Amino acid sequence: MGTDSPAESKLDLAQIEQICREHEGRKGDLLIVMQKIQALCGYAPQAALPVVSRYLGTTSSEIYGVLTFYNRFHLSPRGKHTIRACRGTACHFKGSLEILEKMREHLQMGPKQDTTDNALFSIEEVACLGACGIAPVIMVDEEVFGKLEPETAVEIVARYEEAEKGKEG
Amino acid sequence: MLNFTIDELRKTRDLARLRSTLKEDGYRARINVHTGTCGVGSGALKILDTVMEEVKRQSLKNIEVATSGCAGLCSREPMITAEALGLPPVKYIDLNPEKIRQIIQEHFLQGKIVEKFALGDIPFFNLQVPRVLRNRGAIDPENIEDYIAQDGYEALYKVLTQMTAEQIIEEVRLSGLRGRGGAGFPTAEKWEEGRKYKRFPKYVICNGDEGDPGAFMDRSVLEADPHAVLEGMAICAKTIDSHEGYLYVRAEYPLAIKRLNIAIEQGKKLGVLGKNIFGTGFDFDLWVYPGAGAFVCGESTALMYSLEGKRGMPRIKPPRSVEAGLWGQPTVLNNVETFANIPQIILKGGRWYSSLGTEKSKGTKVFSLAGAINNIGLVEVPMGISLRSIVFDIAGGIKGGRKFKAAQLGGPSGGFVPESLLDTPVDYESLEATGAIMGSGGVVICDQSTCMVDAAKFFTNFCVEESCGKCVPCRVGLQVLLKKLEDLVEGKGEEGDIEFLKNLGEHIVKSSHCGLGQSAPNPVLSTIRHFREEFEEHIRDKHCRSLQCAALIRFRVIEEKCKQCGLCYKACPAGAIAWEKKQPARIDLNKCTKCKSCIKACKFWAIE
Repeated sequence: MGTDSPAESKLDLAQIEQICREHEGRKGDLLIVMQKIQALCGYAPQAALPVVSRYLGTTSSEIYGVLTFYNRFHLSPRGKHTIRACRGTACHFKGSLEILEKMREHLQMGPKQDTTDNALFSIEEVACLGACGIAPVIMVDEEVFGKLEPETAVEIVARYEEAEKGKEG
Repeated sequence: MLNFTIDELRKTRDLARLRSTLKEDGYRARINVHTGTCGVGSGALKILDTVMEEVKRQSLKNIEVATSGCAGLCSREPMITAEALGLPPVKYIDLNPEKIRQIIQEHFLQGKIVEKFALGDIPFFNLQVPRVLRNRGAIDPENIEDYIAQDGYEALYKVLTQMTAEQIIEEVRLSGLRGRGGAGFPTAEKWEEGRKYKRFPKYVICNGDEGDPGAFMDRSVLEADPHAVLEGMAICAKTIDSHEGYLYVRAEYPLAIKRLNIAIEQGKKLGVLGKNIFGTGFDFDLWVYPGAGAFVCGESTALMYSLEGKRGMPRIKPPRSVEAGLWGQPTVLNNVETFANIPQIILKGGRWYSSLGTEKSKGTKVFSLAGAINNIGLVEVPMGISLRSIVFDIAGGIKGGRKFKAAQLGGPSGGFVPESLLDTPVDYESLEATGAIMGSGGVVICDQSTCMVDAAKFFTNFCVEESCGKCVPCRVGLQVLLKKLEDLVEGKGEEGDIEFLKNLGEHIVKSSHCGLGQSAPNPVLSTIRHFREEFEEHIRDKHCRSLQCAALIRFRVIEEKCKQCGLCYKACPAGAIAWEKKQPARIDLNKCTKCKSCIKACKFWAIE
């Protein structure tokens, strides 16, 4: 992921400090603090680590250990929208792999790529979204879409693309 | 601030009941839109909007529009429950805006049930005994008064004012309730232990890190009836003398987290949670912690490390959490469903609860049914019911007239139950004897299109991804297991592979550190045990009878089975199929991309 990404320069360290200050001295709040920072920045930026370390009293290496342990933390900038493709049992038996592949193909993503070049979408595989009743399922940001076919999943992604184009124009 | 008293609780309850009773001079009808995750994902919000529009457009002042959690039959969402004076309550299913408009016209304005959209009288609901799910789809989870109308917080009042800790534990013991997270540890015993240690503060934790793929009971309970869980936790807190509770809930469940936060806030505002509950001087405050996406955090010691802001890696027990849990303090951790059972046990008595079930497994169990069945959804059944009854009566059998192959229970820690063992009664011990486990309650049904080798690979892959990496058998052993299964699926299996898988699997079970590793080989071991012939076919005949493993499919039309319908021809995206009317299809292997579209399209299993 590019370090020249505009996201890195836009970081609001003052706001990150503000978040940390609310949890000062509370090591146990590390996950919450990092989730808040990620919500603010879209990812867990390296520049935030020393700040978090100073306020919470955890070492940077401990923080790094935590960030790499949990799937939901991202060390590089994410797309504007996150597509979570459910890869749970019910979805797997109903063809979720194909849905995932078709969406990646539509977004022209390489095999190891998780964020599109235009930084609009990131795709994640998640273990189970717990909506097996309407499998196969994807979640775009916080919205759940179920009973999908590869084509309908691509249509949903395309709708988001259209909406983004609308905003630009 | 004045304290909330029992009189006020009862007044609130009576008012809420009165408010929800339909009457001539008030609301004559109610449209209840079910807006759990499954509903919303199928378009329930659009239905709600349409209802609101129509009510406004036609100024239907005497129809109340309400929302509630999942009604249980997820595959038929969006769904509403229609109540009107003079008509029985009716569930309308598979809705869209046009249908709901017609329902408003006919059901609500003309008083005529729209039979063609209504859910008939099906065993799906008839065979269930809703205890944990008693309020599902009936109350608004974002309104505490709805819960109070169903005797909510009465049990908490009772334990705070009329029961000693010993009496509470005795009642729970009589109920026979065992941990619903999967392991089945007796709840009363855990609480007793938690009470015994006199180091303060103590903590109560609700494990809502429902990570098993295929399981969604806890999500549904938290979304549909959050107060029942909170009340159960508060009762536990009083028993062990704790004043702080945590709910650790997967971040993948945003709706559950939102509703829990609303519920806690409303409870504190009213005075049934938080400081000085019911004016008794008892404090119990609660926090919701969103998980950060690690399956292993469903293991209790890992979960507690995660709450402490650390990597969620399990530790060796003892000490058990009741002695040294969160921050090293005595901690009682139970699953969502376990806590949700508690208020009813307190109100109706342990004996009432244990009147259902088998000798060692009492009461009811919630299962989430998914996969190749007609009725997908959430069910609550008495312990002791047979798996066959769940699959064929409640779930309505296999979809599309296909054949049952296996029921997967307990997710990545569980196993597959074949047809021959379907009469096994649902209780902790009997299920374990089949090689599966009760688990948290996720049941995924496979038909003949599911390849058992591929399924074993799927779960092993899951566990490889989710292994925390602390101990070798799990971290390395599972990878070796996976590599071997990949070979089988790709047609590179060799004689002796089955024994190798079995041996290695058993070693991992014996030598792993925590529950994840100890149970991770279960899906492999149970598929070998019950479906060994499929493994043999993959190895010896390089054949996959379910037509799942692309490397083992010849992509050849079996002329005797081909009905010459042309469906495969139409489905092929590569133009590799030649077909003319009244001629069997032919596949050109030079053009074929092995995408399996033809296999999915063919209704006659005529491609091998």
